[in-house]
Amino acid sequence: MGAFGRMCARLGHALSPQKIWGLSLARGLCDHGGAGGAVCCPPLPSVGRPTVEGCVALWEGLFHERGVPEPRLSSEYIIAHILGAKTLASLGSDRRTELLTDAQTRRVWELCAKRLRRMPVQYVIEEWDFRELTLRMRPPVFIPRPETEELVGLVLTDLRAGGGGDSPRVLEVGCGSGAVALSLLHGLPQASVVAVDRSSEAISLTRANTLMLGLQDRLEVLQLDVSLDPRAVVSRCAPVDVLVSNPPYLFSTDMATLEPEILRYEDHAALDGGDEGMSVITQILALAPCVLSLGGKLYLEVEPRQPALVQQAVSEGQEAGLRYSATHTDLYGRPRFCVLQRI
Amino acid sequence: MLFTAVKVCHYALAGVGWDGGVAIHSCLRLLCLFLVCISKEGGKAIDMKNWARLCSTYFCRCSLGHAVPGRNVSLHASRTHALQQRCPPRTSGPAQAFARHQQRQCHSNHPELLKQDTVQTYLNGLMEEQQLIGRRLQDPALSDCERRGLSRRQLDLSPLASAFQELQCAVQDLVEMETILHSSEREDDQLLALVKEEQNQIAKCIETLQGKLLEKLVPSDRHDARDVILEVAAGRTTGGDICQQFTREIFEMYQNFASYKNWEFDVLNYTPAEYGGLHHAAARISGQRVYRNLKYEGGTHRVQRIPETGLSSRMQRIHTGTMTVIVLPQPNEVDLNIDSKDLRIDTFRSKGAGGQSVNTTDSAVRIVHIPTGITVECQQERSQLQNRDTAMRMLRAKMYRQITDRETEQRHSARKLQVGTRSQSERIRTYNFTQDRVNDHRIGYVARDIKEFLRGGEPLDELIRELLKCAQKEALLELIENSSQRKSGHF
Repeated sequence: MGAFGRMCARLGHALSPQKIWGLSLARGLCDHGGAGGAVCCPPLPSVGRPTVEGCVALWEGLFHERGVPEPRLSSEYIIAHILGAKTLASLGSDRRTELLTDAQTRRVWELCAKRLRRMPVQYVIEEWDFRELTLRMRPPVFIPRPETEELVGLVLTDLRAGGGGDSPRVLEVGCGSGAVALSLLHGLPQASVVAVDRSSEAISLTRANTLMLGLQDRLEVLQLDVSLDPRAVVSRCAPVDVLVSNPPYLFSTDMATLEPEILRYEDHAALDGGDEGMSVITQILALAPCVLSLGGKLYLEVEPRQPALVQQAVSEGQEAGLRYSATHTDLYGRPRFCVLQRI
Repeated sequence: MLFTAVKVCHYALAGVGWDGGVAIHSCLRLLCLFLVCISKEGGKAIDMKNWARLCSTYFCRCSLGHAVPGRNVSLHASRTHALQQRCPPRTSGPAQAFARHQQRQCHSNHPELLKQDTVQTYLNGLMEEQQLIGRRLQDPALSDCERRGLSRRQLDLSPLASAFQELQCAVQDLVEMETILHSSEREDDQLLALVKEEQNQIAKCIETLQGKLLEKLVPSDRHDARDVILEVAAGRTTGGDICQQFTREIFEMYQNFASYKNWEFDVLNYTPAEYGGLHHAAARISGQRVYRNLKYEGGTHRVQRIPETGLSSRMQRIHTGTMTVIVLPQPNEVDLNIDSKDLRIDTFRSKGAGGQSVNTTDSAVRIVHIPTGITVECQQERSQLQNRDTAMRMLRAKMYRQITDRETEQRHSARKLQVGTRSQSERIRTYNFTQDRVNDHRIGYVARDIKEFLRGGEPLDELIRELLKCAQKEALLELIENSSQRKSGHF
């Protein structure tokens, strides 16, 4: 009762109208949560119905208690999603004092239990936003990061300025959920994209998102591995005006320091770039001169320590036919994007 | 005279299904009237155009009225005449009729304003200046520089001059209608009705032209057509949440007002307080002339009520709270150049390695403009890029506001209705729930039924119209005063 009682006191009057069902929760709350032990989930309230605000506050407290990061945001996004909104703020103030139905309450408990097991919120609600698009998300397909939104911005700026002509052709290596490919198609009505990934789950998720957004006539999705079968990629995709990729670029040694949200649920193959994170990047640099047309550009998202390594690889003549154009920083001033050109 | 007769016959032939006897009878009546008028005026030239129009409308009404009962003949006839084209076309439908009624209410004090001596002198002065410029430009011995200066001034004055001319013509037409009315001795009801209708139309036309003239006289704020960013923030009280509740009600009022005016209302930032109030929020409102309508809403709004809910309701006492509204015009891209080096952008990801190694749902963005210290934040969307774009837009609006405020302060103005930093701390409006009234202190306007007012519909619209009228009047008088000072300074 101790922990829960303290939490109730902390949440103050937000719970007082629901003290009855709050107490019934305490009966079922067990605190096993050890390594390998199943994490117990609190049972549904047996008496009375919670309000939206009360529910958000309760689960924020529970997440905080269990050490789940971003407790307030997790609680808000999950409950807003169940009510059909993207954010809690977009629900009117009158809706926030509404009572949840039984079905909604069950759903809240179901989804928040997943979050208790450190599943990323994007997988819990099975969707997330990327630039102007809303995309379906499914484990273990890699969840797009905010930096990649800037990568798409770079490509769009160049293509809109005329690079690639009227109907540019784009190849994306490692499409994952299809975020980059679909954003490019959305931003450039004349472009066409070939998206390639070695994971069958990524391919099927990309296809699902494409159909959802109605962009299937300009997107081709192929399950290919650029490391194992580069010739197939060349024969089926070349020539293209742009090659864009957010390849796995983490250093193998850094993988162990990742948080449980990533380690337990996301595809490690989409993150691990081997020694110095360069294994897949090297394959792409070798592929680029074969698929890019003359003057075509290669855009890569990388780790801040890697632009120097990429430049080195190009200048040492290992990648004939490519010239290093520029390094762009991300929002935080970290070197994040490499742009190269086919010469 | 011959011309008129020809015209009459022309319209007679244009009539459909007319009874021959009636037609001839009407023709004769018209000719008689015409002769009477000519003799009365002693041969003074009456505008043939007006007469022809009168005859033809009268004729068409007779003929077509017989052929197609209930048809609006005068509308058909009047479309073909030049006078009607000077006035805005008649539209049908209750919405437009209501709008016209409202417009008429708004312009109801225009005749008084224009009849004022100072305004008349000012107008005549401008017309004289226009004619003088015209004469001077014909002088061949004018230097290029002088010619350019004069031409520019002529260009500035020409819309005003043409509006003035149109008004004079319309007034003259009205006077002529009066003459016709008085000179027709016969109890010809149909003709009298027709003339009266023409008079009403011309009167309406005059009102519209007066409004146009006033608008051209007073230079409009160059921001008037812009979209705005509207910010609300709860004030501070010694306890309770009356300010936060009130802030939420005001924000919802403006949201409803935006939909009433068919504007778009995008919430940029919404930070709720505890117990259902609103701490601060921002929204982007886009549409027609948004800034013009909302610019006088900026300032401190005060509330007085006995709260029914919340912490304060326990003691049944009148509480006072305040909240601030800030209205910022949105600048165009070219108006403002912000160097990205001057910006510091803070997000959850700023610390640490970022990239693939971190997954987060915290996409809040805060931007600080280092030279000026302006800070904006946005956490409205799930996409960080969209939050950043929104925050940049708010930053541009705030910086633009700083620049324009500096310009306003430099202008020495004693106007009651000011748009600027000074007004932020001034209490502009009080919402008294216990007495059920809203009081705008700048123009002494009182509105009843506070619940209806807070719905953001017609009552708020009316108040804003009154504010704009007052502002226009002050601007005009200030303009006249400045120009007379300038003139007296010359001598």
